[in-house]
Amino acid sequence: MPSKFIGVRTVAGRVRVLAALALVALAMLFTATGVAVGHAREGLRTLGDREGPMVLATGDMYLALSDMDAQVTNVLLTGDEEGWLCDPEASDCERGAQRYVYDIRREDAQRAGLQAVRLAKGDPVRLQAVQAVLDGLHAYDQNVQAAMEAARSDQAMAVLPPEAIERYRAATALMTGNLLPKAYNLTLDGAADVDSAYEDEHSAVLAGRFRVLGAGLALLAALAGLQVYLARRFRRMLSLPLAVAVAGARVLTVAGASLLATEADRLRAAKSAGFDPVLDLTRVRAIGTGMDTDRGRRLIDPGAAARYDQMYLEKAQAILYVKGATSMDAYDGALGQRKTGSGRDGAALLPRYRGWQDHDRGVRELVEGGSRVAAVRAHLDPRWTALPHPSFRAHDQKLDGLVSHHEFLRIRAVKKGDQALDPWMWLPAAGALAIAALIVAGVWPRLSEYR
Amino acid sequence: MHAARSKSTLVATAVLAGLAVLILVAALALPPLVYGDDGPSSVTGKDKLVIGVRDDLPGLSLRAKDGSLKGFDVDVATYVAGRLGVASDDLTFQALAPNERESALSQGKVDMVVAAYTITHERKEQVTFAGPYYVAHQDILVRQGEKSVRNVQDLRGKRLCQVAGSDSWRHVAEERRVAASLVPARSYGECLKALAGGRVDAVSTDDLVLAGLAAAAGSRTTMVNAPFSDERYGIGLRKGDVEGCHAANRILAGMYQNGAAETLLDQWFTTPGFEAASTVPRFEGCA
Repeated sequence: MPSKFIGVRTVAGRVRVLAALALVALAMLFTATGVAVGHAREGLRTLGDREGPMVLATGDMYLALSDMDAQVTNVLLTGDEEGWLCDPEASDCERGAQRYVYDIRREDAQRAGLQAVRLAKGDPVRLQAVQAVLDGLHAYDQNVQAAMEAARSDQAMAVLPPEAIERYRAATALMTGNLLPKAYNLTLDGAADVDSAYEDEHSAVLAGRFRVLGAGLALLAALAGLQVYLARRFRRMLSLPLAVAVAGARVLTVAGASLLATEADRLRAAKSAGFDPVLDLTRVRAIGTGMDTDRGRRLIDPGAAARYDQMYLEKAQAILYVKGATSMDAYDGALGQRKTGSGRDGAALLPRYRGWQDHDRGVRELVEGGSRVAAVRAHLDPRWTALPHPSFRAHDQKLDGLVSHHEFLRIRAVKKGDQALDPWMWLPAAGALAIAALIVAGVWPRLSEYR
Repeated sequence: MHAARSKSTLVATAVLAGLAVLILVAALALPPLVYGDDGPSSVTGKDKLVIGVRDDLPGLSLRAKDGSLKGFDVDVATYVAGRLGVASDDLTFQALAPNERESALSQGKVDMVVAAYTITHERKEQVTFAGPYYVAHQDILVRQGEKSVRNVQDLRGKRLCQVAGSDSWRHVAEERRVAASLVPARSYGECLKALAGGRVDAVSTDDLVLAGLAAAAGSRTTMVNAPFSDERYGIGLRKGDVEGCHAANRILAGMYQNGAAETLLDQWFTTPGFEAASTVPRFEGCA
């Protein structure tokens, strides 16, 4: 019989084996709790202060680049090239508002580029992509400058000379065909990293919870076995230290398991109610900005109207998909009957999105009817043409509000998760030590009777 | 009496101790099974790959006289597979008709589809798309010297080649309501002959296909260069293969950065009046 070899034939041997079993289970409870708490902390760091915010910054880069092209398009539409080209330090002129916005957004894009470099962690493909975007901005600047100089005229909302259209087309093609895709791919790549880190940590926390429950139950069973054996064999009703150890093991197990369940929920909240929607909605915002710019592009460059109309439709389909709509007329028709939005916060976004598309249909009819200047006026804010039309801005602001809301949820989930973890830096160790001491205290006097 | 009590105590203790050991082992062994990665098998973990391609598109993927398949799609697939660690000897190319692509993937007949496979909302419900590796645009091919066709609207009243099973003519005649008179043909190769022979005035489909046609020796045709749609050619993977999708996207990004994409595009689509895009497209995303 194997029991002979592990010394369970004697009473002292049995007590020792039971106590050792309890201590092993306790060690496992301690380790499982510590490891799972570590994973929870790591997951919160990823979403809260490391990769998560950096990926969101690259998402902002996409939006900033879209904004830059929107400003350029607005200036060429309204004819405020002088304000754009003005250098207030060199001559007595007033720099246009769009130029200020452009410069600010350019800096935003560059700053986000630096975040993307940190995120790339030496991955050469990604580093080269960031570099290509930042380099591409110089080429874009040059094309914009050339277009502005060629487009200079005293007349507001004038038709641009072919040279200006050509340079504008080059600039906007560089932006939409080269820089924006690269920026977008960087965000996708970073988001994939965050996704897999989150999946790993989240399932590690859930697995940890399972282990904590298992180790806790095993500890309780071992302690119960010890208790039963000592009570019967030594005719004691109850060993007080062991009874306290049982109570302590229960508390530690239940508290640990429920903490880990809460942390898993917090991680999920930070990811699926925070990080994911912020990224998705920022993307929708950038697509919307690009769509509004496509309408402006078409007005500036009627020669490529079919292409810009197609880009507009494709972006509309990306924001809210309408099955089978292959023209904006069909799309608008279906949109008017649509009762529910789709995707993230679709219902909250639908009314304003529809309002914007309703307005744009009017612009489209004007331009198709040959009233170019009227279409340009209708496309922009009637009070201040440096701004897009209020119907678009309402849609954009709604998105901005939703992004802020989800950003708040992300930060709050991370903060609460972190706070709940704080005592667990020392609690498992202290609890395990105390329980171990109690087990020894419960067993020692009985074993000493055999010396 | 004492012996019986002692025995039952021993049994109870042994049961509790056994239970403790059992639970400990289960707690150690089970979580990786329950919370482990249980996604579908990925193309990243294969030693051999079967790749679905077309066999009727000049420049993209066409069956050569010796029976092998050659073209840009075949080369892109070979490049991606190579970077996934599968040598070209371990690749099998299988010709698929357009309507077979989804089922071939879902039934596991092919591991990957690189077949002028446009990413659409409907297809994304059945297929996970890496890429696109190229964004083609629908364009128009005319005889050299033809000046009256500058954009899609100019096809009004012209004879346009209509290939069975292709949607390209719909984009002109139905979606844009351009009243062209349609001349049926079985393939784009036949359209090219009809165009050269004066039986049709224009052929309209994806620019890569047109460039492949125009590049054929002695075609005496030219592209109008008035793109009017985006056809995002993706790499079709089994639904849910997110890992493979990310890996393929990284490979495609590298393929554009190191110039391999440009070399391949130049190799297959050099034709006057057409310049293939040489920068990486915006990826669709894998989720």
